Amino acid sequence: MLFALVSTLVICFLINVPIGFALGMAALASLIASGTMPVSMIPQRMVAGANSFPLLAIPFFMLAGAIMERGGVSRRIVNMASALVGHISGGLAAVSIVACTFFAAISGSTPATAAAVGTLTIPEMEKRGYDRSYASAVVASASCLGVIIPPSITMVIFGIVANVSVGQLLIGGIIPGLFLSLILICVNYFRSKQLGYPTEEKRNWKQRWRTFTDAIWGLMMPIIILGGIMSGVFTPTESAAIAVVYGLLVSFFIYKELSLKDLVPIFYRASLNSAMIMLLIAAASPFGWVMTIEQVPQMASSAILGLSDNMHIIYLLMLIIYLILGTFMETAAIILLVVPIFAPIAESLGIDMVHFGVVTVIALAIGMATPPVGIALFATCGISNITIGQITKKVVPFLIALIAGLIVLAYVPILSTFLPKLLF
Amino acid sequence: MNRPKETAFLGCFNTSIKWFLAIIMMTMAGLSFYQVVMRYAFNNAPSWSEELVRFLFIWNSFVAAAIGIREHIHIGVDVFVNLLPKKFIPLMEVVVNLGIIVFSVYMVWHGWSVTLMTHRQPSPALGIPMSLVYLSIPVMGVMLIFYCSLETLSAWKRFTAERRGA
Repeated sequence: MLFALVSTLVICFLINVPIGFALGMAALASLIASGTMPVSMIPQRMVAGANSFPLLAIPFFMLAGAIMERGGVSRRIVNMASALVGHISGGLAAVSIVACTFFAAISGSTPATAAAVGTLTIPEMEKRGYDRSYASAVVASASCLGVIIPPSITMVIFGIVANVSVGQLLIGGIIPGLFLSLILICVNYFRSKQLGYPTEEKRNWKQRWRTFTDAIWGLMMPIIILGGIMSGVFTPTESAAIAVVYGLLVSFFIYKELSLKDLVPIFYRASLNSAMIMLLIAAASPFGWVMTIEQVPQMASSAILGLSDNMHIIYLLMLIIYLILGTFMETAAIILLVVPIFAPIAESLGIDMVHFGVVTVIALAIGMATPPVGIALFATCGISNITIGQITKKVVPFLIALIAGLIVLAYVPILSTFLPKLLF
Repeated sequence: MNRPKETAFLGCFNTSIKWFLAIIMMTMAGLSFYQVVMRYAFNNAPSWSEELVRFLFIWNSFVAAAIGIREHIHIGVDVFVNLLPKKFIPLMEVVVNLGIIVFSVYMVWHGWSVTLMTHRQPSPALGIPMSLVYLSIPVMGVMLIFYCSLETLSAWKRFTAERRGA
């Protein structure tokens, strides 16, 4: 049974079967190979895996971000960011990073953040003489903040798979997200000095205030989401539903940039994007069931724990595995395949699970920007019309900085656990 | 995207699926918002809405996963396939789509048997037969067979065209 499971999965990965179907096929093959287990397990388990209210946060966070983007909030955020940091060296690139940071607090997904900010700032940077690949690399690496700063689809998935409070994970992402944003700004500052990229005109505080009040309706959204979760008034799913309605109200009645005609494409797109993740989650349910009765998690964890009894080495090893898988695999798939094995290990090592979740999500977010395969790279290369090869060279310094930041965050748990401990 | 030309029927079918999914998603968002308002403003959360939203989401996810074949939303691990000579890539797509069709045949068959089995099992809150929920699996299976067949045909055409070209 185990042999059928693993060999089917490996063959599926080799020939590029979509991962959701690969998990389903592997479970199917192992049930057929067992001869005694009924195949009807698979449809039953798939429905059971999808049948969970917390999962609704995934499409709702996607929707809220998409509505806000279409409703004109991203342009206002870019304006505000350029009034704030445009005057430092590499101004427009710093603006992109700050705008990604703010937009990350509205959107729960990395490609959405990359699209919202990149479509506006990459052409502008090119006009001001930036290298197109450098401009894209900045947006690609900063868009990773999309899933680190709440709301975050990846944190929702981790919370459900590892059985950790989604609310605490979301709050735990705030400080690490801002920390990584600062690191990226610093890297850009020094690189731009080297490359001689221009600065923009400095604005006074009156102009800054005007851009801020223009963006205020968009910036209220994270306050509603986070305020609701922190005060315990809403669950993450409920706050996501409120964010959708709030986004519609702002886009229709205040910014007036959304029309009824836009709604069907937005809701259809959100259905498709969430279905891609939901198929993975549904198919991971029968797959995980076979793994559990074959005791794979126990075998894998005793193998990993047998390598060393030093907690820090095991921890580092897990992070390295995340980063390696992140270079070629989709984020949700890594969580569904690896976290059921890693979470018990982390627990037995006495690592705080909120901290472990935040660090996992950061490692996987970096994976979104590591070549050859990464959703942040695809999104930005699609906008700027360059190849993965062209962006790779320029993105490396940012990736190194992000990985250094990851290591700091992994070994200084207080940065991720301070806010959740304070508030819950 | 180099999609095959759609017949009038196929275009009409795809558009209705698009509207179906969009309307379900709007209903999900609306019901969840209604539920929050009822709970916190009137302290009177309806017991049926959460379950209904979950069931709608299951249908939305599985139907969207099937039409997602046409929209190319599903992501695999393509680093190994990209090592092959370029002309073999459409051939691999044919193999993958045939594999999904085989999986879907099992889903239609066993999903349907689960649907029949759960016909008398009421859902906890709404009291509707659970078969209405499990029906989403065979429906997804049928749609997957349909869309994967179209993908298989177009990939096969690309493969033979490229061979003739070379």
